[in-house]
Amino acid sequence: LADGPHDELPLSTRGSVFSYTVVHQAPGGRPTPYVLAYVDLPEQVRVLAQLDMPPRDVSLGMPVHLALRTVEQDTAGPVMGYAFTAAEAVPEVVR
Amino acid sequence: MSRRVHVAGAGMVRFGKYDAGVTFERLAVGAARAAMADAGAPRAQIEAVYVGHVFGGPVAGQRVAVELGLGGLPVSNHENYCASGATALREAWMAVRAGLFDVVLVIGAEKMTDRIKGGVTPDPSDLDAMQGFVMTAGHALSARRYMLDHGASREQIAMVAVKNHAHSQYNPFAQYQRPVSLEEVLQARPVAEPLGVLDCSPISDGAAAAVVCSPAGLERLGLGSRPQVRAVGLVSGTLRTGLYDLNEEDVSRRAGRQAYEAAGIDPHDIDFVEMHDCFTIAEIVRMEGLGLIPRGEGARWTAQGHTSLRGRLPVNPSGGLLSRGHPVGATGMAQICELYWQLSGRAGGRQVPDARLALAYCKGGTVSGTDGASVTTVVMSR
Repeated sequence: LADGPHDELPLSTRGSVFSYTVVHQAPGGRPTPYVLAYVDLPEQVRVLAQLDMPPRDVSLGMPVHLALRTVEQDTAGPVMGYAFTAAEAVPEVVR
Repeated sequence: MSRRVHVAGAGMVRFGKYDAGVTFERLAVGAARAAMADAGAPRAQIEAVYVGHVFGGPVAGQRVAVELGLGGLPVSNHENYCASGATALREAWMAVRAGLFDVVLVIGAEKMTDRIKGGVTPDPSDLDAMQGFVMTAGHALSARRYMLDHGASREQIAMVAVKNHAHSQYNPFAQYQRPVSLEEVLQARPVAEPLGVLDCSPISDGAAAAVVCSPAGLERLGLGSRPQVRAVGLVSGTLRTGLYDLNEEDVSRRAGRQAYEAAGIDPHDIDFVEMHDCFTIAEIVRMEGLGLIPRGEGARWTAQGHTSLRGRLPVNPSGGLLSRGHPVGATGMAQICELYWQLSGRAGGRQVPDARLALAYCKGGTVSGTDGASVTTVVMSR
């Protein structure tokens, strides 16, 4: 991808919200509203992902946790993807 | 010593939402004929045609050339998303500068309203697009962060729309030509919070064109002095890693520097800027990236009137994309029309007094993981 050798690094499933927006209008029939955010991970990596939580509960800097979920249905069945959700909302056993 | 390159004439059709009967070809032909008439350039004088567009389909430029009676010439199509029109100009500038041609036609055109609904997105294969990234969302993420990092207010960002719509009432080619109040911008329907619909450029149809000449070409057309294209910069985005500064705009900084150096100018001498304000916040962070406004001061500058028509550095005297409309492939050439009219003293009620040196900036597209896709910077002088 970039210059020089690079390593594979497992990423944390926890991070914090760097910035977010509530999207009210999107093309292609995607249901709205949804929350889109940049989530910063402890490994100094920033990922773009949806936040699977009510917009009013989101704030800058809040801790979030990775959650697998169905992102769409195609002809072969559900397509799994990822989102983040409020860290408190994840049961202890999953952590 | 390479040759000088001039804009001999320019023209556009009013941007707006046209019905299905007004085709891509018709818009492009309208703008091209206006530019050729303005330059006094008959068909027989045109040696090549450069066409920028995104959604026009395969060989759209050749379809337009045939309708213009310019079949047989070298015709090329240029796609760099919202920087497509300016990219076409760059190809023309290089060819004339290199001595290949003396008189060429550059067209930017787009028919969006019958193809695009609800906003533009990156290519569907893009990683961010799969997460639901739309262009508005990217700028909303930028705006929220800008407010936090620089102590800027929502109102200050909204003032970009108020300012540009105020300018637009003097632009007969703008899609929207009426002023809007701060209250209207703040109360507008939310699109991607904190941005509302008046923070967003509209989906538009339109076309703009210019006849680009060498000094010999100007002579051939019987023209005297005409504004000069001093340089056209083009850069692409680079990978960002780590917890980067979202509003750093390194891609804008590099594009600016490239054009300033190629044109041999001091950016402080620029009299006005036509800036790619696809969204209010974009005008602010890109002006800062270009080094024309101190970092973190763009929102305050806007609210204080420094970027208004009578301010210290007018930005978007045309009304910008927010008011003129944003037929994506046409925008770069609409900016060139504005620079040409301003530098010729023909901009009417929106004339920047004694404008001698100007910059036009376009940013087109996004690629996941980078700070942009393409940025163009055009420097023109009287």
